[in-house]
Amino acid sequence: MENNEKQSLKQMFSNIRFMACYLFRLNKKLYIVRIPMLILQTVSSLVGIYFLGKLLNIITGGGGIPQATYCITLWAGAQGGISILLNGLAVYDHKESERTRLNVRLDLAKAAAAMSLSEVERPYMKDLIALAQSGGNIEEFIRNLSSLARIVIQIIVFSSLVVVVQPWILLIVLLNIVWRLWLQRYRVAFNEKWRVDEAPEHRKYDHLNELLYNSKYGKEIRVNHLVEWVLEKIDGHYKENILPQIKKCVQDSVVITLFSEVLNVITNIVLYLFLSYQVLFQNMRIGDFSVYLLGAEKLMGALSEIMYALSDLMENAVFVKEFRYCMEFSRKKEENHTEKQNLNKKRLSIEFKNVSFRYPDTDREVLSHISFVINPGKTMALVGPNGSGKSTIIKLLCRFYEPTEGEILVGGINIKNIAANEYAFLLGVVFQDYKLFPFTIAENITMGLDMGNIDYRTCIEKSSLKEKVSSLPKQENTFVTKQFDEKGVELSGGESQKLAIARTIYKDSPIVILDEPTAAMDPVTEYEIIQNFDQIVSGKTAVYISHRLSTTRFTDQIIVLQNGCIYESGTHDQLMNVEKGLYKEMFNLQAGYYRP
Amino acid sequence: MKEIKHAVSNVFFLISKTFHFAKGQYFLSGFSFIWNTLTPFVNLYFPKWILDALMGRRRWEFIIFLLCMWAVVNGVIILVKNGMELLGNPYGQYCYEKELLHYYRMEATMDYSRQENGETLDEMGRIAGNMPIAYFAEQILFDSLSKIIQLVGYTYILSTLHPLIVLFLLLVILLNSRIEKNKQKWKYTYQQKKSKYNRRFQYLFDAMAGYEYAKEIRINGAAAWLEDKYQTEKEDYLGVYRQNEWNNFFFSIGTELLNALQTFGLYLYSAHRAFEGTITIGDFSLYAGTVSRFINCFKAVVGKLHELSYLSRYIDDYKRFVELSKGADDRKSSPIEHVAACRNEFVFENVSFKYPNTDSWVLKHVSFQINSGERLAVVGYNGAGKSTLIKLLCGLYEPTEGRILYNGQDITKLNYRQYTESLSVIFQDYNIYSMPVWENICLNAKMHEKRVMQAIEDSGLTNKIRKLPLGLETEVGKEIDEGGIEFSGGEGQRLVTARAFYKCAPVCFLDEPTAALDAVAESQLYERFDKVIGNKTAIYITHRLSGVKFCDKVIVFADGELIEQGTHKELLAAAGVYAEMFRMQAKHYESEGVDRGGYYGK
Repeated sequence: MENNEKQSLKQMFSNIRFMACYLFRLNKKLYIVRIPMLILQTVSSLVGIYFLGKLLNIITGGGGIPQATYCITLWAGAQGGISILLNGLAVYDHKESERTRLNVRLDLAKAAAAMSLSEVERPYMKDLIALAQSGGNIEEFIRNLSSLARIVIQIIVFSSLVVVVQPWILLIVLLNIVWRLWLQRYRVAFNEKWRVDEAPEHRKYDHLNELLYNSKYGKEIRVNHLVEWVLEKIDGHYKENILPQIKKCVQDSVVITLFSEVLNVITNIVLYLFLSYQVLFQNMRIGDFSVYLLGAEKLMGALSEIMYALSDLMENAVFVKEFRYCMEFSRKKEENHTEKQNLNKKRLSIEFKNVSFRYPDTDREVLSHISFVINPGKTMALVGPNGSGKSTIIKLLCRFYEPTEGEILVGGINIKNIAANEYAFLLGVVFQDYKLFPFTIAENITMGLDMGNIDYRTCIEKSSLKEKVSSLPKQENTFVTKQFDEKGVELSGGESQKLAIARTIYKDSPIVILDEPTAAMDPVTEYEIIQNFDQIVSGKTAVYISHRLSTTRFTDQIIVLQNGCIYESGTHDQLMNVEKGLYKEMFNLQAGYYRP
Repeated sequence: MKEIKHAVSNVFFLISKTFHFAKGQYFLSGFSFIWNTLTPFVNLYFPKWILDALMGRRRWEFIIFLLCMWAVVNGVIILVKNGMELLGNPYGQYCYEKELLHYYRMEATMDYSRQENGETLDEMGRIAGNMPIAYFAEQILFDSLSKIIQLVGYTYILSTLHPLIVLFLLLVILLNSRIEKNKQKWKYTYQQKKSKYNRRFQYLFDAMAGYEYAKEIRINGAAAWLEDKYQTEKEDYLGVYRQNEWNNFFFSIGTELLNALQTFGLYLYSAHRAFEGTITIGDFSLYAGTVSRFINCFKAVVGKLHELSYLSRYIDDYKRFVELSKGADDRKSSPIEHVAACRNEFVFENVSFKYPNTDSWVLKHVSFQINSGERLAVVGYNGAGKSTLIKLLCGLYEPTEGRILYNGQDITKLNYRQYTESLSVIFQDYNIYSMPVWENICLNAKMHEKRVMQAIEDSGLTNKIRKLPLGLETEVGKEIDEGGIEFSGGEGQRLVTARAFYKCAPVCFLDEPTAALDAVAESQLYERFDKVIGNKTAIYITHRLSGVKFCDKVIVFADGELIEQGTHKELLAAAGVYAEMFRMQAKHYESEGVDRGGYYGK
């Protein structure tokens, strides 16, 4: 999707309509409660005018105190009663708004979670998530939408009231509307330009801010004394890139407001002139004068408000546009592919057929005509210098990206044709940059899956975590990190890695992928884990990446990558017999350190 | 009353803290204050005069004159108001940014232990969420003042109807205030709970939608699991929310009844006087208008006072936060004594350590010495405390017991900045910044191109850099700039190694610097370390005992205790834990008589 497209007013309206319908489907109650609220709000404004007018007429028309008292009583009662009713409805309304807001965020999160990795990586998604982060967008949108509805109703009601006096007032009203909409259009165009062109600047600004408040950067910031440096950057960046735009924006905004307010004043004076004339020369009663005047004032008020309501709505339009894209994208995906495949869940083969790959929007071929087969239940090691494409092969196998050329087959079936949720069960992966969740240790292992016959405690044992877990006060119910529980525990690098391995063990998938799974472990633990690999990968098809050639030595086959191509392949013994072989060189280099 | 005094004093405190970078903002606000206060009265009196003219003398020219005056006055008001907005708004936003930075600065310089801690996280979240209120602090103050003056003005107008009305109004105000006070008590507790929930929602949302967890979520189909958690939290939260709303409603009933009573009483009396003929129709409309404005103005004052008291609580939090965030830089410190050039020794004197608010000891009675120019390898089982050692040496935490000496001085008493200038550190969880390559290397030091290129050469990155479209200016990572280039795990590690090389400090701490490197790159890096580290003092934490060959001494940790120390040869001969570890790693590199030992079971 091109975030670089600027929206026109028409598109914005279409998006707003989409959002309104979407919210309706999500939570009908939200709309239902609004209807009586809108009615009451309109009645409330009419009531004040009506009774004041009546009262004035009574006073000037020679009525008596009892009449006046009756009128005032009705007035106070009506106002009070309506207000209380409105407040009561507001309780319900606020709750439903809040519920809707949370549901919308959830829907967005789900849609994002269903997207492919390459989509989620793109900067526009970061923008969308940052927008959604402020959460207020949905609340504001709902509020603005209902303000708009209220204002439109008010305009209609008060126009009808005022038009009775003289139809030409309607002309003024229409002129006002047209004029304001035109101004609005101009402002929208400007805002869009700012948003699209300036987005990278904002992202940079946010990133710089994050360096200061996110504890992830805490150590380096302190030890290297980077605070002043970062602050200078932020200030400089803001002054150069963000402030000028703000100034321009305010300028435009002020000009628009100026015109709008001047228009109000003029219209007001004209109305007064006209109505005074009516009173002086056409025998209009003072009470009626006040009614029409107040009605006209309310009308003008509503007309100016419509500008603000519209522009507020426009501000939300960006979020809405990207939100809509997200939703429609994820719906499209569901409609695509996929038939349920009857895969033998226990033993699967993996095959890469002439696969080439380059990252989206880049030129360099990261993988070039890669072909290999791993038979069911066999293991394969991927070795090679940094940047040779090892992790990329894994990413393709995980279906995070699609090969630019060639096919990847699992169990003989092209992985493109397997449904996402089915595919997720086929792979158990420990990534090089695996992530733990700030929930309990047990949850980090099971991740909500119920594997029935497997006890997660055995997985803890198999990944050599038993001792550590038993030492914790709440054992496997201890939280990882302090984010959700102050008594949470920080795990060391190696312990975290073991937990990630336990997760994969638990999943018991037919294919297991391990990307540097012991990088952060001490030799003894590494040895333990490797001994237990037997149990982790028994009977499974496994792919294993590691720099420590001592650990890749006993796989059924080894593939040596260099510059995205398969340079050598075979078993350890075969490769050690290749004259001037790359594998041989690397292995001997490492082994050399251990020789006396 | 005491609360209001406290609130006002807090606001002045905040203003005094921010005055130096927001002077202009305050002056502009002061000016706006005058305009805003007077404007409503203009729009009260002109209609009254016009009505009077319509009922009284009925002279057309006079009415036209009045209308023109009104237009002119309004015109001037509009021009001035918008003019100030034009000047003031961007400037105000800039002040807001400065304030935010001021706050972030404190976060970034506070004791590291606090930044990591969950409770402080919550507090900071609450403060950060309230930042906009601080921005408007002076606006709130001026607005409050403005509204109060208007309220007084309206009261005066109504008092011309009858002096006793003032008492009546005061009574109403008092009762309303009572109601408000109780309402606010509820609200504050509610806000505390709300912020906790919001943090969780935030996290869950990030986890599902963000990039960080993207791979894990997809490969494990974890979205549904996280969704369940979200739903549970949501229902809990909505329960709390609903309760709060009902509270608000009950309080509001009281307020509405009071307002209705107020309107009723005043209108009735005015009507009575109008019938009597003691006030004109114009006056009547004036009083009627004033009553409704009075009610709204009072609501506004109440609102402002809330904001004020809310602001005050935030300022209390802020003050507490300022106390907490006295960081290492503020510590009383002595400068590093001049010692003979190139002397960099460390001594651990019976150091024991446990993290704040925990019970388990991470380091127990650790004592050892590193001589100047020595290279020390630190090995041990996971969780044995090796990385903690580095954190203590970097002054991020203080030892719970014992001392760490640098050239004979306790490091906790040294000037932090001076001390850290002598350190080059590569942490195990190092960071790469979304900035150009050269900045990732130089950080805040001056850039000397030759030295940068040397550092790149020394860390084996020359080839990679040569291939980059913009060379050293290329952005690292695609997150900010689509034109940026991703660095693989190993390339990233080499980049931070270049960073350490560039800083060229006399002491070097390296925590697993080759974990992500392949055999060839690792070996090259060892050679380079040898050359670059040369005679510097270095501590090298690693699991790959291959690196130990380049070090002079080894210390071995298990369970927080130092169990063996000596040279590589000595420890091998001692046939202890170290020897065992070494044997295990070496085992599978041997070419003959290798025991398959259950690898990758068949």
